[in-house]
Amino acid sequence: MPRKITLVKEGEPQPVDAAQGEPAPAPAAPTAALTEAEVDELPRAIVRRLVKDKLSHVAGGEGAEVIVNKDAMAAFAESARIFIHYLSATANDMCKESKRQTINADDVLNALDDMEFSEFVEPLRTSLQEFRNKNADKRSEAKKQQKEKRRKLNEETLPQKENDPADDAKENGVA
Amino acid sequence: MEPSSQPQPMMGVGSQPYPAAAPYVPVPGSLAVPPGSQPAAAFPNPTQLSAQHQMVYQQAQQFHQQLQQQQEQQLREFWTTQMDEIKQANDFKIHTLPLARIKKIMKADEDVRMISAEAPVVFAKACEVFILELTLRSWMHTEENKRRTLQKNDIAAAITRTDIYDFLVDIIPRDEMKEEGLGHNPIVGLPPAMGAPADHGSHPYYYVPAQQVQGAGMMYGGQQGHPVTYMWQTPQGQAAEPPEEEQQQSA
Repeated sequence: MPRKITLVKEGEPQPVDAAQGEPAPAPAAPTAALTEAEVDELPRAIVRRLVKDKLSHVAGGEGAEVIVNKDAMAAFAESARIFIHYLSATANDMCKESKRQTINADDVLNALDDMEFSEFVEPLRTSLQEFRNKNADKRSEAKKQQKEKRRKLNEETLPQKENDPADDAKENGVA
Repeated sequence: MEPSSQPQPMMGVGSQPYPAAAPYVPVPGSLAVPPGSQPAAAFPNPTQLSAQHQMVYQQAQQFHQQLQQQQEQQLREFWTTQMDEIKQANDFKIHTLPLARIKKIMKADEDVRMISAEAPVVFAKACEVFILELTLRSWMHTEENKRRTLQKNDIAAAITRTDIYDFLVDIIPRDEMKEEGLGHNPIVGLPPAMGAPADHGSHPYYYVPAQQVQGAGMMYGGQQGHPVTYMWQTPQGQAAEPPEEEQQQSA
């Protein structure tokens, strides 16, 4: 549990809704009980934070904090899981229609369009592009690290050369 | 004369230790000289001492350099690890929902075989947007009932009213469906709640006019786009029913 709490705290700055509005703290809200098995369930803490951030943004003008029932929070998590199943099945169909074996990002975007969630596609393309840019940055930095390693190797060879005079000096001493 | 000539070859030996080949040349000379005279043996001592000192000094220098290099390498490795951890933290913040969990849920379907690295990222973002949209639609129903607590029947209402949420019908119990039927009555209050949130508390029934309804629709349409527009069409269609239900309740 403490680990999950830590993860949630780390994730707090990230939501877009939080950036748009001030997310209200939820200490008074009842904590969602982990009644269902967590095997295929999404992390309740994350779902709860998404819901809370959205509600504070939507109902922020009215001041009072919104409370979410445990049953409602469980329903949100279950809806999200079913959404993933539905989307993965549709994306899989898209993938096979193109006679491919691997589901890629375009299959997912086409699936959303097919499921009539067309409004999702544009923000998801933007998010995907940012993800790819991040990956590109990682690769360039990885190359830099490799270059540094090569420099280290080159520096390591120099001390070996210097060792030879030392050995000669030792021989002189013995003589 | 002999002592004066002997120191010269010793001096040469002292300077020559640096080149590798040089020390071998004077060795036979020194071998020949020592048996010749004993006083000559006393001179090599200081030269040997200085040579030993130089060797020790050189070894100390080399050891110091090696130590410095090792420390520099350790520092570089430490900072590289730190930078990687920072990046990982950033990545975690970017993708709120855990990708491994999403991949596991996708794999639950046996037909799904191979998944590219980018697909779970799109899934995580799509799932996040879906939760936010479902939250908004559920909150609308909560507001209709003038509550500050979001309940499961609010989610059931959102699912019932939205065609694209048909895949979620299975999670709505029949009781929730009945409650949703009952929930149709408060739809009468929907226009004032949406149109005039500030005046909602004071005069909810004074803001039923069609103009405000249209204004509210435009406002929400601007915020959400098509989904909200569709959302507005459904209540209008259902608007014909509330009077009948009201009559039934009154009777």
